[in-house]
Amino acid sequence: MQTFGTAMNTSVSDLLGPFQEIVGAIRDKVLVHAALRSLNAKLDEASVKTYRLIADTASDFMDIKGKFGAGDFPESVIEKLDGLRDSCKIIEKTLQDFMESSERASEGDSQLAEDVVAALRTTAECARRLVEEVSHGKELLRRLADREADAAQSRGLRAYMAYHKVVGEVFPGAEFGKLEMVSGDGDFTVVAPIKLPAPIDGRTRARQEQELHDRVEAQDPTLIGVLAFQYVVA
Amino acid sequence: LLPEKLIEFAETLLDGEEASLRCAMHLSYYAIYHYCIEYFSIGKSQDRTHSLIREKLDKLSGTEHPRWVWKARRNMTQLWTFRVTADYHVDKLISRDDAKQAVETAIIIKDARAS
Repeated sequence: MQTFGTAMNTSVSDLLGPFQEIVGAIRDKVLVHAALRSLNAKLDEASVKTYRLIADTASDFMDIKGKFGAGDFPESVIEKLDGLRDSCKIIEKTLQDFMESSERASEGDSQLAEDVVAALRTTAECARRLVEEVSHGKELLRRLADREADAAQSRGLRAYMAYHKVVGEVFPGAEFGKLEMVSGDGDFTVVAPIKLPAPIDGRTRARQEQELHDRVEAQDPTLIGVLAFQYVVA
Repeated sequence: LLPEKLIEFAETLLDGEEASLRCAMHLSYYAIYHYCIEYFSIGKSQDRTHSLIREKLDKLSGTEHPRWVWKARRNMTQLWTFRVTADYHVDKLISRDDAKQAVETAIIIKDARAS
């Protein structure tokens, strides 16, 4: 959650600062470009931090220990993401308005007008992408929340426990790592890293993994297919 | 093109470099994806076909389903994760053993379907 605070502070206040510089520097071509570059860099930074935030909070949520103490997650995070998205929308709208007024202000200097408008379009596009990314992250967290609504009773947790119990029987000396999340195509899976004491050929691993499923299926068939595994050599 | 051809081709990629290994993981998933699309009569133009397949496999019950479908149920999450990692997470290291596992898993399902 601490990571989120950092991302919020950076993305909102720092985004607005360079924008104000642009307003002050509109009459100077060099300053305009410098300010726009600064704004673009901040937007890129905010974008990276937003991704990191989503990954970190999801990862925190997936942590077995954290599951029992994460009372305000993910609703509070979603609310904050909403706030960030709204801020981005304001910036996007302001940039569009500014673009129109700068077109008028640059009349008589066609090259400056062209440069400013082109750079502002790029910046506005960057802000729009950030809004989309935040929305996507929010959707992902919502799905996470839906699936893990009742953490203590969740199949994910029960599956983790069941596989954890038998992993050493199938892969001697192996240990489970902290649960992770792999996302793509607007969806995600929960992945349990299996730390192997020595490498195992992939084909053999595939066959052994079936044994792992056999053992868990014998206990509780509803836990099959809930987790994916990532094999790492300790 | 029959989905099993995708698996056959994936096998030929296992001695290659990282890009080949990623392709092998991608193809292994899609072979089983196409089996499932056909089995569950899911329209390919439908939204969210990937998660829909996993949802249908997750809700599987009864005794009327063939053995390969149950094998797909236990392995599709793993195959999807391999595929997404191979296709989207280029910063993440994948190993030859990961690719071999993906192909072998697809073969397990394909063989169950053929028997």
